[in-house]
Amino acid sequence: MTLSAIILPAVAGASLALLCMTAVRFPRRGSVLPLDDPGFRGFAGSLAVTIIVITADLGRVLYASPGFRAVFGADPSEVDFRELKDRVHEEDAESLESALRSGGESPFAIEFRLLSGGETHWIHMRGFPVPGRRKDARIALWLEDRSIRKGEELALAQARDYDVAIGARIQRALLLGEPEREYSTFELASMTLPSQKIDGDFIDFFDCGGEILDLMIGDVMGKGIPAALTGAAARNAFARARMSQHEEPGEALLPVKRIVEAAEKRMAGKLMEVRTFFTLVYGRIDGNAGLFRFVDCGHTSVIHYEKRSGRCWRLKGANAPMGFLPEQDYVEYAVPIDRGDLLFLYSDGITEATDSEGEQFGEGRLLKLIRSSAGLGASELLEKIKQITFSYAAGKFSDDVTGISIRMLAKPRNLGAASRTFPQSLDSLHAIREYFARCIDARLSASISVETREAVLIAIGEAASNIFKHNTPDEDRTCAAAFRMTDSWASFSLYYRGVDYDWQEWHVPSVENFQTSGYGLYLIGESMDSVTVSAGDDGYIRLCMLLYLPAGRRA
Amino acid sequence: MTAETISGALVMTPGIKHLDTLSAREFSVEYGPAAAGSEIVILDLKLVQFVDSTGLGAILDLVRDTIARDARIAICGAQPSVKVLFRMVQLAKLVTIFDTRDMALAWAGS
Repeated sequence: MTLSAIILPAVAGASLALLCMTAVRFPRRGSVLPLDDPGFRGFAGSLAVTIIVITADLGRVLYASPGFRAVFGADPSEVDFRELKDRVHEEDAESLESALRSGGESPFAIEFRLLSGGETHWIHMRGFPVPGRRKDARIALWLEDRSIRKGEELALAQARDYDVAIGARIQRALLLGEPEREYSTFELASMTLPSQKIDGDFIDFFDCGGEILDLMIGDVMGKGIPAALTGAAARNAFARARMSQHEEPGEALLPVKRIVEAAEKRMAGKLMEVRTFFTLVYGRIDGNAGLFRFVDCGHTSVIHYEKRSGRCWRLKGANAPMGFLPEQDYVEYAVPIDRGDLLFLYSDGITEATDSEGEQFGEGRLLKLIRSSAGLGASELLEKIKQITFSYAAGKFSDDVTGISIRMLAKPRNLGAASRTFPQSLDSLHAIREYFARCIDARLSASISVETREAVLIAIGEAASNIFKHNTPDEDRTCAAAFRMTDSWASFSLYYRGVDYDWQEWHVPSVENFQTSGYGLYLIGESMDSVTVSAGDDGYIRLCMLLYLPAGRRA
Repeated sequence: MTAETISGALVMTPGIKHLDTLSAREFSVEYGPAAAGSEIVILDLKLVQFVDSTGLGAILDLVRDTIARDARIAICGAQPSVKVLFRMVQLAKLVTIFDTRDMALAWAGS
């Protein structure tokens, strides 16, 4: 047996290389160093690792460095590498045996728990085949006792688990509200899966009486205790803002944007002082009116599965996260919701869940998942999203996963609806305007003034004109015009296929300066109470223009 | 379009129902040159049922060019929908708007 025969196949390890370099300074017999050389024995005994050479059939220990007894608690002659199961932890025995059996063919590395002297030692073992004639084939083993390091790692993991558990409890207690009761016109469910760190996702629900529920979901920048405390403060600010602005008995509910403005007054300055911010969606579901109103402060899209069109739409607002600016003009949006529709509000932990290749789950997958699960109830949908994203990320979320799902169970009261398709081209401009004019005259003439009627038709004309001008005419494509109304609102929607267009970016035009363009979006914004443009999951876009009727303005 | 001179004012009456993105260019090409030599221009919109922002832009071009050469311009006969549009963009800050042609002609003669 020669040192080079044992060691040289194992030059991968830096320590082994050092051993080789050191060994060549010892007296040589030819070009190799005998293992029983006293000098080598002295050197090997000084190493913190144990070197063992065994026959490839594991039946005999050919060489063991002096550290063997300290590791195994026995002499080499007492240890049979074919029968180690009594000496190692039962969970590790099978993998160790398998590694050793393959050791004659290829290098391996394995970590296992060795039971020795009444103690458990964490052993890191590397094995290298030592070529030779069949009966001379050997395996060189390199054993390192990592018990101390492993103990520290386990203690750290335990501490981390403890922190995660505490963090999850903090989040449940301080950041995650629950609805106070159930509603007959919609069902809802919420979930949070804490990540490996304390996070600042927060949600809350405020019962507004009847079939009306206010809800919010937010995500604080950063992680850890500061994020959790900011989230808790945000929740508190909204609750207090609602109380301080509370309407008198018999009065209408506060508009959503007023609540956000009141919370901003309490928080924005302080957030800017401590250089943090949070994203937020504050929404209001009115089950009887069939309406979802919301203010979006830079949060992830609200996903609206619309049963009528069979598509998922991304609802986005235009405001910046709270804490970015000392004061903002908040824009409130409203979209009709009907029986069978789903709303899904979520934090970016879901779409940023990452697979082993580093690819994020993404909003596209989420939209497809929701569309394909449209028949599920609110809780079942959440469970499915949880399972699929958890599996996608192999159980490891770098961010909290928070979501609220709402499923509409009832049709809005006194809903009226009509729709028609038109070729997607400028030639349809007059026909679309005339179609909506007929809808208004048939259903809304008693509810709105002549002036409002004309303003609405101007807005519709501008919208259709914008759509057709910014998208290539295509005979195969159709544009669907949909009219819906209840006692409190009327909506005029256009569904078309084309490029996304920034409908939010409008300014008050200056007629005194003979400005001859840039009036279209202004006219739409002035004529309608809400304009949402939502991208779908298949290249379609929905433009929804909504007008509150006198009864709705009070709500 | 009909264009006639009444009491020294050029009265132009577009014969289109919709002055919008489909017809605004035609309006500009026809009406700009027609108004070029007149000191007083009256745009009678009694036949126009609808004007959109592109149509408004064409009207504003005419107004700008007329004012730029120190001539006077007024609009009359606007239908309810067109009046709403004019109100929304506050067109009256720039040009005199009358309900009827007679009122506009009285203004022209004053």
